[in-house]
Amino acid sequence: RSWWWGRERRKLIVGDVVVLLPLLLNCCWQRHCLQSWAAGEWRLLAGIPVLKAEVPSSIFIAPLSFFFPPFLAFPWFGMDIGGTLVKLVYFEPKDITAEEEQEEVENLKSIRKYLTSNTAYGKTGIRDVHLELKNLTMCGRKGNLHFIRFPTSAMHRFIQMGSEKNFSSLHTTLCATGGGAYKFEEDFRTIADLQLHKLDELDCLIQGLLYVDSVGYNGQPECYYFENPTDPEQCQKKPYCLDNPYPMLLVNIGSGVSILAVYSKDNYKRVTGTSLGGGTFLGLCCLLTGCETFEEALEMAAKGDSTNVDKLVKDIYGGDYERFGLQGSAVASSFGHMMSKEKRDSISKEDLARATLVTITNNIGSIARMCALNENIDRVVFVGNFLRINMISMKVLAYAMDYWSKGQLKALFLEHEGYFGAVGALLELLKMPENQ
Amino acid sequence: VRLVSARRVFPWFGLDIGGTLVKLVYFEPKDITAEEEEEEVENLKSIRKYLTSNVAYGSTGIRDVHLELKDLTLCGRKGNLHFIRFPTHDMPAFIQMGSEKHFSSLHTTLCATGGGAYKFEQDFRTVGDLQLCKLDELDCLVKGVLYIDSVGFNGDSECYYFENPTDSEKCQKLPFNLENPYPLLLVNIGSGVSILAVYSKDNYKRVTGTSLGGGTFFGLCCLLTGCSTFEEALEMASLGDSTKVDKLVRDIYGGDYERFGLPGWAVASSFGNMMSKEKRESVSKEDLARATLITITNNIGSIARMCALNENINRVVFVGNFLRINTISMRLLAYALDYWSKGQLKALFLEHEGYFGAVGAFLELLNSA
Repeated sequence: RSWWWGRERRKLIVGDVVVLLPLLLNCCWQRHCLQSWAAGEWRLLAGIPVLKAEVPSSIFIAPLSFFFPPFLAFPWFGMDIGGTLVKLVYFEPKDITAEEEQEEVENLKSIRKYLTSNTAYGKTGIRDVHLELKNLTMCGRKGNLHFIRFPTSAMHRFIQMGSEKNFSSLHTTLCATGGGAYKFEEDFRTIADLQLHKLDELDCLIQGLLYVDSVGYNGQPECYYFENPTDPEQCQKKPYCLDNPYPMLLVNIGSGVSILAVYSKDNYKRVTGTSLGGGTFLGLCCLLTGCETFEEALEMAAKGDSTNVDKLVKDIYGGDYERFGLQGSAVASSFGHMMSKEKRDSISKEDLARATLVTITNNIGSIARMCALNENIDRVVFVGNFLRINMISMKVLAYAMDYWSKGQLKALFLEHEGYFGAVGALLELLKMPENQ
Repeated sequence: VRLVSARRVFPWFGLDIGGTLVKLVYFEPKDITAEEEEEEVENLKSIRKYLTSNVAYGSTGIRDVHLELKDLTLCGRKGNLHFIRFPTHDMPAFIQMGSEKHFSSLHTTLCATGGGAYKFEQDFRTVGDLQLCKLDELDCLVKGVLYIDSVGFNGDSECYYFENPTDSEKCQKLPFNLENPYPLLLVNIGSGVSILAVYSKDNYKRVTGTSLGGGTFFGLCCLLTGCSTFEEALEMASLGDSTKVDKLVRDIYGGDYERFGLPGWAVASSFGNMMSKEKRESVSKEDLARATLITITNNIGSIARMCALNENINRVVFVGNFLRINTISMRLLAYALDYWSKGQLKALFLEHEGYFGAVGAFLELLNSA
């Protein structure tokens, strides 16, 4: 607030009424004032509300300050606390004036420097530098948007850190979505004295996706598809224009899966979901192969052959099942060979990892296809961190959508995969002045 | 050229060679006259006696005596219908036996369905000197279901459902009258799954399928628990607790996800807890078997529900040997369909589970007389 005082005083000395008008429209300050009025921070001086501040000059500024809203306090975060990962987006302002910098509170400055000068945090936090969006203009400020993730299992450590760094003294609102916004709400309050502003994860997903697609990816398109997905030599990643996105089927593959039919910016429905998601892949892989991380699991899968594990149509029919158009190479029974001890002894961990990946991916693709058919939608967008560094699954989905629908459906992907919920939460924060 | 008599030459078999199991139905005539018996060829008599006086064949063949249909009249003959199964893995031994017993000299037609009818066709010819009459497995399935339901189960109902499926004390198996069966959604859960929409006796379509079927449950269980038979896997599953293995909605939300009507006890991510080393070390093999069963069953239920919605059908019949002695899955399917459809859909089951394809093949034999 002391920073705000300085800026406001300067503007009044200049006497620039035009500059004051937009500020008048900022309801955030009005809400703050009403709250602080309720909290007893003001008193009436000759009928005029005046802040009970210690700086004498406030007697002159306070009455006017009641009507002149300031601006949304930094830092600006959006948080998505999922079943496996916490996704954090952080807006780093690049247009901070010398004065702002001078008045910047110490812990705010240290947060800014800590986040932007590191790409790893603690043992498990990671900043996806390649996803950074540069020179964005948000709420009149220019800056970069950073994308950070860490396991949900480290959440308590995160809250502890927020408490130690006195995050609550910054009086910023922490917008959070995902199940964890509900699950950890109390911990945030009791340990770190932080009140979360909870948002629905699917609302945030959609708003985040539409926003990132609209601003683009540092000049490149955010949305893409694969041409010739099963031909390793001809397979090409190509940009896709999502200017007219509706209607679209949005398949969010996190720990579990949600499938949404999106008809317009504000009109969508959750069609269905499946519990066989990214968490299933990682959990089963850990059990079957002894791996410990998502990266390890994917690496093993890249080297394996799932046809040693799965029972294919040709294993049962000796060839194609022509009557119903099932090719011999299609999987009839996932893991179907594993009931034979002989076969169990002959396969590798890599084969098992591959079979797990292909099974989960094909199941999601199959369900998505049924939904697309039922909802009469021909574009299916796949997002979520299951697809992070997971080219195999993306290609399997691209191929499956195209093949089983005889070319009617198109699988689309987005560069910022699992971060849209967090972006949506950030956008909600920036809307707060309007929410009055 | 042999003159074709009005009656079909014995023995009467129907064979369904699936991905995991071979299902055999055998009609044992009970109205053989003294004359017929005298003229009966030796190997035909020995086949009849071998099949009907044993309940186990070799080390893996089994006759499901409790499923025997008594006093059926088919093509003017009276007799009992027997239901026999053995692993597809033992198919070569079966064909070998056919060859040794000179089955081909009986000049009967062997009607077979399932993928194996195509896969083993040549082996039957070269090793057993037998020409198979190949039939489509889904045609046979539909015909078999309609026939068995029409003759009933020795006076009892073939079709049933569960009332109060999740209440272990109040859960009841109740008969269901399938007299006006159309339209119905038929979900065949074998090694893999096929889902059919049946509109009339001769009009059905394969809506879709999934590769996550009985073979997946069995295969994953063998890998995760070291079991080696389906019975073992089910027994382990009955003793386990899948909620230790799965990540539930309440594990992520701390409670219900009210906005979209997801209760806290619903599974958000199957096997989702298993990415944590700590949790992996704290679960038992039984928990893993249970989780595998629940995961596969729920996935099938979910897909079946979507199809029923798409096709505008409210009766879903589940068949296939995945459900053999598998009350857990049947009750879970019954509950899930009812719950997620808010009572709109009904899950139905049939006593002869995995044998309908073989029955359909058997009927085709009688048709072609």
